[in-house]
Amino acid sequence: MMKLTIRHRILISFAAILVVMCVIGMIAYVWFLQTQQEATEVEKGILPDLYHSTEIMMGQMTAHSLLQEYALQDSPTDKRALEGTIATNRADVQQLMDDYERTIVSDVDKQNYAIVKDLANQFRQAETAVLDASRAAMSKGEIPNERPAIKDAVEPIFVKLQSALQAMVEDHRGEANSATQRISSIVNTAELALSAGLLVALGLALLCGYFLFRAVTRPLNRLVDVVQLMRQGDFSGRLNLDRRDEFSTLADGINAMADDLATLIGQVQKSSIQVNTSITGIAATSKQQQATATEIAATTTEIRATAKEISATSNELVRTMNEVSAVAEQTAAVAGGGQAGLTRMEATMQQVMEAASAINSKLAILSEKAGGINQVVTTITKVADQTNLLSLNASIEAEKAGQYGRGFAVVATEIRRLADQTAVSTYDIEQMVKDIQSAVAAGVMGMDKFSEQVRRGMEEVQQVGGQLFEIIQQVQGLVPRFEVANEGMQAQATGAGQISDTLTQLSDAAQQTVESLQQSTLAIDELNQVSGGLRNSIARFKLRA
Amino acid sequence: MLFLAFKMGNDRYLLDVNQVEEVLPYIAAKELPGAPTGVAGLINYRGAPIPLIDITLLALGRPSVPVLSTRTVVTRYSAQDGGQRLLALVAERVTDTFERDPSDFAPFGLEPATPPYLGPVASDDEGLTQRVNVEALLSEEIRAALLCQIARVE
Repeated sequence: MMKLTIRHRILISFAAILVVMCVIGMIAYVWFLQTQQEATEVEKGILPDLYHSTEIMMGQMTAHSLLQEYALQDSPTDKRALEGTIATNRADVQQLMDDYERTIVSDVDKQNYAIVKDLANQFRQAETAVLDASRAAMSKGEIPNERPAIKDAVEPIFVKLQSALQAMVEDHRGEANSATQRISSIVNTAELALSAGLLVALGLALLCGYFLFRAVTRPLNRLVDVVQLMRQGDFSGRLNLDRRDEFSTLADGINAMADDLATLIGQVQKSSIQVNTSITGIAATSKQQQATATEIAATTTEIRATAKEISATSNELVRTMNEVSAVAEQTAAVAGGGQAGLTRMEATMQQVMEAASAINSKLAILSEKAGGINQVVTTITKVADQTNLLSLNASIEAEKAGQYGRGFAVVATEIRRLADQTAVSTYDIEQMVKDIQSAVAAGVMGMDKFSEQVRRGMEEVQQVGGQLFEIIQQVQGLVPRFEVANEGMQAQATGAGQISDTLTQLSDAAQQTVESLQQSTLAIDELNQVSGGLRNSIARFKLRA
Repeated sequence: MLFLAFKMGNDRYLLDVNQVEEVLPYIAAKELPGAPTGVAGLINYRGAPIPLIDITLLALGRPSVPVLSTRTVVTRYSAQDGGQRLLALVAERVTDTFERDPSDFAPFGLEPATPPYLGPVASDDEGLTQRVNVEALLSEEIRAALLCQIARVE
């Protein structure tokens, strides 16, 4: 039910009422058709039958009356006249009966008509008999008396015919009555049914109307409530209608709008806070700038004073530079003297180096001689070793010789003792030669170091000479630079004066900056107030957490 | 009785000069591959090859230092077949002889635990000296092997 849209609901309601009305109309139509049928039957069947049967009855009555009148006539002329009338009447009746016979439908009617036809024939035969008898009598010239014949033969048949006709008429009347009653009952039923149908349709219309009313007003009330809340600035509420129709679409739209508005207002709130912060920052910055500009003004004034001092100092420097120039020339002269002394010193050092190399060659000769001594010592050592070996073998042979070798053993021992002393002496000589060789080597190394130092000293002397030469050149080159510096100093003094003037203008500009910054501070204060107002007016909106 | 002195490490040892044939300078030996420890090889002594034993290598496990005082001592000993055999020894500090009485030497009591070539000891003013037996320097097995090799060389 909640899934139906309002459009569907309206269509369904109207369709239901329309269906009920259509049903009622169709039933009523059927009933009216029945009524019409009944009425047609009455009009086409029953009423002509009733009319014809009544006519037939009237014709028979007329025939009966005419026969009676015939009997009452005395003159044959009148009787002849009446015979014609009777024949005409008979033809009329016969015509009526034929017409009637063609309209017969029901069995009851057919039976009744058969009886009536039979009785009418009997009546006609009886009547014909009476008339024939009368004519026969009259032709004989006697006065006919028809009364007994009529009374005996015709009357009973007529009574029967009358009653049969009466029955037929009654039958048709009854049919007419029943048809009328049926029509009446149908009409009554139709009245009742139509009333009931109308009542049902009315009830259905009311019910549908009630449901439609509910379906429209309830969500509408909720929408109105939410919109009322939003008008008061509360965007926290959202609609959830639990249905899928135009109102849910509308509610979704309102929800989306509320979301968008809430986002927008949130952004505006944030932005206003940021704007406020930024304005505060700008205000602080502006104040700082103001202070800075004031400081600049003060500093500019100080710089102006300093520039004036620089100008004065530059003038003093010009004088000092002239003095320095004179001193530099003297320095160049002294350095020239120093350079000549250094050249002499260099020559002396060259001689010292030559002497050192001579000493080195002498030491090399000494080392060579020591090597020669070493070779001699080695030879002596080998001789001593051989001597020792010989004495050992001599001792052994002397021992083996026993008594005969005693004296020789003593000699061998003595020789070995001498060889041992020789070995010890050669060992001492070897040690001494080694000492000499190491001392010579140390002397060579020392002389090498000495000549190296002398060589380095000579290089340094040469360097110092070169440097002194450069100093002289530079000092001599300084003089024209001093003049350039002098000119620069004067230009500096002039420039300082110009700087001082420019700084005066700068100071004025700084003062103007301070004033404009004060104005911008006022403007920022106003901006701050406006931003505060914006923030207050935004703050009344309530957003969903 | 005269003894030829030599040194192994710091100690002095003595050889009976009656067993010494000749003292020669240090001679480089022809090596014998696969010979037992202490056998330095063969040297040519008066035209005949004789085995050379490095006594320092045999006793201390290091070869003798090749200096002038290290010398080759040719010794003679009696073989079991009664013939005289020559055996060369390399020893350090072979520079002196000593006169000793055989009664100066005395057993020291640890002979079973020491090599068989070490003999009795004698003391003098330089400390204890010990005699060395040339016959016991080579075991029978080594001697036989050496003889075999010498025969092959010959």
